[in-house]
Amino acid sequence: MAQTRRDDFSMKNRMWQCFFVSSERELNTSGSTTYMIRPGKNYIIIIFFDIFWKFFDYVICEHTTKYFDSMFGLPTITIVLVGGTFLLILIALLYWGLTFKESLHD
Amino acid sequence: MIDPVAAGLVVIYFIAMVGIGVWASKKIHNMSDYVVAGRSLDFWVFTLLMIGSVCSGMSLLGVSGLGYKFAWPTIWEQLAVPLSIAFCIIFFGTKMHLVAKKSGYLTVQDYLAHRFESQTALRGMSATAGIVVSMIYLAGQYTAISIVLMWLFGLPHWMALLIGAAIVTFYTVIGGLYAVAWTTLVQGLLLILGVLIMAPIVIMAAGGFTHINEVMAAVNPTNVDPWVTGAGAVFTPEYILSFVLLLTIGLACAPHVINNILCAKDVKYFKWAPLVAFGIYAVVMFLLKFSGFAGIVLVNDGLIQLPKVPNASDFIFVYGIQAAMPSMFLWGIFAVIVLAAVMSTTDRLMLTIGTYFSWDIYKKILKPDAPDKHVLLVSQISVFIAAAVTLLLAITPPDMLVWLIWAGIGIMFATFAVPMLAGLYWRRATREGALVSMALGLITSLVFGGISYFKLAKLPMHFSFYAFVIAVVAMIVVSLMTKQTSEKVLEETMTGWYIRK
Repeated sequence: MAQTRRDDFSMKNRMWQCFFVSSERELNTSGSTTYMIRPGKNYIIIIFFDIFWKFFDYVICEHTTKYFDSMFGLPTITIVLVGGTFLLILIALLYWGLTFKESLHD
Repeated sequence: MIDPVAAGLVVIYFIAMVGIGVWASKKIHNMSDYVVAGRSLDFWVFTLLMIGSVCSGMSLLGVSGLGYKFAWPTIWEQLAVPLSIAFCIIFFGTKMHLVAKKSGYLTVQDYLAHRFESQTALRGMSATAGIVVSMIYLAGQYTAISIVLMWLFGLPHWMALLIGAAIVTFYTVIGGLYAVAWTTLVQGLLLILGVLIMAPIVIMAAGGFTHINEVMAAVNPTNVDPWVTGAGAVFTPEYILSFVLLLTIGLACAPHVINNILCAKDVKYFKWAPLVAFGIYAVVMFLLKFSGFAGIVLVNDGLIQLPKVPNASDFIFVYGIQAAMPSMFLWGIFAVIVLAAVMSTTDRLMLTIGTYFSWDIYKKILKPDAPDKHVLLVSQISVFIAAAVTLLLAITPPDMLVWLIWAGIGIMFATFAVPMLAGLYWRRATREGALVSMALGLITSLVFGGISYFKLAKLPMHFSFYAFVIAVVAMIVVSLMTKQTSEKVLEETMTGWYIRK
């Protein structure tokens, strides 16, 4: 029966693992090792954070502030506050879903 | 004259709801089936039940009405109301579902009675408060049903109320939560699809989103701001803060919403249900609000003229649809959608009132030895009586529908939020603290609500916020002065400063 455990990466690789991939090494009975690399849950959070940051970054720049002033006929502050709050809530709920451990509740 | 096609659509909808009720009635064998659908609801039925319980007459008529009246400063409602579902599932549901399954709770009062070791006093007070606030809220829902039937069929107000109430009461009485959940699934899908199709049509009829905002800004520059300040302003930053707290936490602990937590089949649904419910409902709410904004343009351009009634702004979405889609067939579809939204909350409220009386007051306090079938019958009779009493309350509609519903949410917020949150997360919270907090929350919210409604004084924040603060202080002070709940009960009820251990 296969035994699965966290790979023992170096600190640098651990950071990489934390943010971008979730890596597990599977040891099977024959002694051979299989590495499974898949997108980590934090990767999605990073993408959301990136979108969120770029959103504010645009607002900070003067020329884009003018752009926002004409966007949808709304003032910048309305777009930033309403849009930003909406995004924050989405990120928080996404984080909740990704970190929810079902086994704890069974 | 009544259009036969529109009337036919509404009649088909009513027959479908009654049909679901009859089907559901065959699944009712005991109180658990009637009250929590045997804890058997799947992910989508549960998630849409949560959305449907929160989505009410306010969502379709009141939200656009408020948007029409106060414009963009009311937009926070569109974030707070969908967030209330997520808040309920995460902060109340995750723990309570587990404890409820182990201990066999049928209502939230079962939890409160267990956690605060008060089988009669706290249970009785909580159930009574729940019945009172649910009836206030229910009266607002009936008014929304009446608005739609009056508009579509030209019926007198009392007759419209009677027809709407008769249908909802019938399927709720016979089918219990099974009927409520499955009708809500259908109603929720109708509502979501309907709003996704109809709201953009109204917005386009008003010239598109950007044009609407430009016209609103031209009418009054503060219309497009996130809040307003100055003399006479309603949606000031401090008011919005209390407004968001009221909607997010108040709705989350509302009896007809929080009890749904006990009906989910599996706690693993709580993983994605908050995000799914928030995402779906936020889209619906934003579209409805933008339709209200579109109403400003349509009225400004003389395309529609609102009726000369005290709650005229609540008619804005209805009249907007009428202007954008001059077809009786589509009006019939729209009427079904509004009725679906209103009835999805109405049936849940009626069942909550019936359950609180039959289970918490009759079975647990008045007659503990009553057999299950007897309690079930009392529950069905209670639902019927609740419908009749609230119908009488709704005969005279308030100035503005949404204000009445807010009053109900405000009282729920001040009454239930503190004992629920303190009970789940603060081990030092005691029975006496919960009793005093709940009583003061209820009384002071009625007092501050009266001050606000009769304009006896200018309150800078929503009236419920003051009552909430008083309830918090009462809970802390009284709990610290009284004996702590036993460790055994605290462990059984998973009390502590965590959501998941």
